[in-house]
Amino acid sequence: MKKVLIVIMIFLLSGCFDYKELNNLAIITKMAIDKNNDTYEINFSIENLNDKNIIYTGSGKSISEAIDNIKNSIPKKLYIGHLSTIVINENMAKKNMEQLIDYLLRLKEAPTKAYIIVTKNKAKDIIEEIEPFESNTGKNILSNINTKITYTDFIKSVIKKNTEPILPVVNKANRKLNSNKSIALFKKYKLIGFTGEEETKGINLINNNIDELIIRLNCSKKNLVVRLSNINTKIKDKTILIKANAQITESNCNKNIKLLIDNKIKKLVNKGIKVTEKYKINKGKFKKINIKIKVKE
Amino acid sequence: MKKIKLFEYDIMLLFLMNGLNLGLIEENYITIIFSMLIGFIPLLIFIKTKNINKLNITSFGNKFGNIINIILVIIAFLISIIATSNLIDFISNEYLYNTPKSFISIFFAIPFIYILTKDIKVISRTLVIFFFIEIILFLLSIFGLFNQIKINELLVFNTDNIIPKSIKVISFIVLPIFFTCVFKKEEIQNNKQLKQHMITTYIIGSIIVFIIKIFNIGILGNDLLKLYKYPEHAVLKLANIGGIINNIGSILSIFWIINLFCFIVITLYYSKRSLIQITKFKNIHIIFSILIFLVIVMPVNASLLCKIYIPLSLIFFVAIPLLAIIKDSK
Repeated sequence: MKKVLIVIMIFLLSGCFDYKELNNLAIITKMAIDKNNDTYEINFSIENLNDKNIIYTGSGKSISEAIDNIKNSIPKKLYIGHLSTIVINENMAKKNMEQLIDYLLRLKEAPTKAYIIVTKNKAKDIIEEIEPFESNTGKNILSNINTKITYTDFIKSVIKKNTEPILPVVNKANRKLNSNKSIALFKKYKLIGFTGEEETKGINLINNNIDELIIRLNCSKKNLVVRLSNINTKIKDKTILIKANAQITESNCNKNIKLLIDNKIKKLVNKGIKVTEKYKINKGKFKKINIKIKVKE
Repeated sequence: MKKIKLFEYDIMLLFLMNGLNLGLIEENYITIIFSMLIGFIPLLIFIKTKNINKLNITSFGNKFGNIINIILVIIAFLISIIATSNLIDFISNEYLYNTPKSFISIFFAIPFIYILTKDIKVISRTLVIFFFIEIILFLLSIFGLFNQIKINELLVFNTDNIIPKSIKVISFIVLPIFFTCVFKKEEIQNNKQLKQHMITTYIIGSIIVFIIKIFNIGILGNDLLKLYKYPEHAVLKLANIGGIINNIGSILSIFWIINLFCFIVITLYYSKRSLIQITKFKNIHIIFSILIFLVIVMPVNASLLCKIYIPLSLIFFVAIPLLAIIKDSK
């Protein structure tokens, strides 16, 4: 009896009956979703050793139908476990964010850490673009973004009381990707607007999403350019405390530089606070801003 | 008589405390602390209760004692069905979603039946091997996740409905320790230190449960936690060791599979041993194997069984043993 059981177990517990060779998997690293009229156009960027960026396109009336169309056109099995970036166009962010989140939550292979990005261009154009120095197609968009938000962070902000989600924006101009110039503002699952460049810097400063920043200051009608590095923001008792090192890169100025930098940062943070309070990006209201800057000349 | 070591007995307690933790306990960590403190009451009863089947017969008489013992076997079966359905659901949801559930059930039924043909010494040694694998997986998970805990997520204090929630936590985490009451005191080596060991192991087990909860809430947050069927697996997917090793969620989740496997083995061992004691029929293996096979392969409504299990466990694992101890001491 025992020997029979052992023999059966050898065959049944080997785990080989539904194995999949790595060669037969199409590993998806980026996903672009464009919604035009009633049709979803989905593009998958698939990792390949020979060619850097292979894009497969499918369209349908729902996300699942569009993905099914890709499945039918590709000779390999789609594997979404390594998905790192999801790019969606403005129209999709305005109307169908909930469907996307629902789809991702139900997807068994989906990684918990996939970042979402909004674009005003066509989403496909963003994932097609590849930096000459980058080899991993999924990470090349993410490498320059300050506000990195995964779909699970997005859901958290939607579910939490008194908070609303935001997403980073990447646009394409002159064959280059521009990030950190704007942030997409949401009310629950609906895109309601975008921030300007200064507000974006302010929001990134408040949320400690920024490590380095170049600021240009007016000093007696001359230019003073300062590079802030090691920026660290802490929020304690509704007070924002920002610490950073400042290095002067261009200067023709004899004024109190520290005061000028403090005022500029306060101006940026105040702009950020206005947006965060209006659109409930952070919980509660801020009372005070404290800035500690070490200036290196 | 084959004796088990105190260390092996401790490991059994740890597996019993963590077996039903996966996916069933959604409560916040304040409820966990509260439940673990109240859990000392049933623990003290279990310390006093050894060889439960004999105790029931001496306290309530042959007829009533045997009825209670049979009910206890049924509850043990009930809890092993809950654990098996949770194990198979977990594997089917997170690993083998294209494989039919009945297939997975058959694969697990075979080792269960095989291991139960062995005596407690073999089972406890197997548990020790699993325990060391578990320690490695647990430490790897902690190293991979500790820097992702967000303190502000842990500062949400919710004490609504704390008593019903605590009863659920106690039923699933503390009361399974009852299954170790099937052993006679003489079966355990150095049994004079048993009381201290049980209390220490209970505290260690509680800390493990607490750490797991802290990681779940600290990483996913209370709100997101409720969206996942298995938040423990969702958390492990995020594990990142030294920025080099990623995507190891599936390997680390073996921790839960081993936990459930060992939990089911101990509960089934309790049923088998009790049935032998009640029926005095030593060759019960064949009937028992068929029974296990049927129970595991049968599709069940686990959520309904959970609702039935909670009141039954409180009555038969706490109230009746307490009554038996009081009657026996008179």
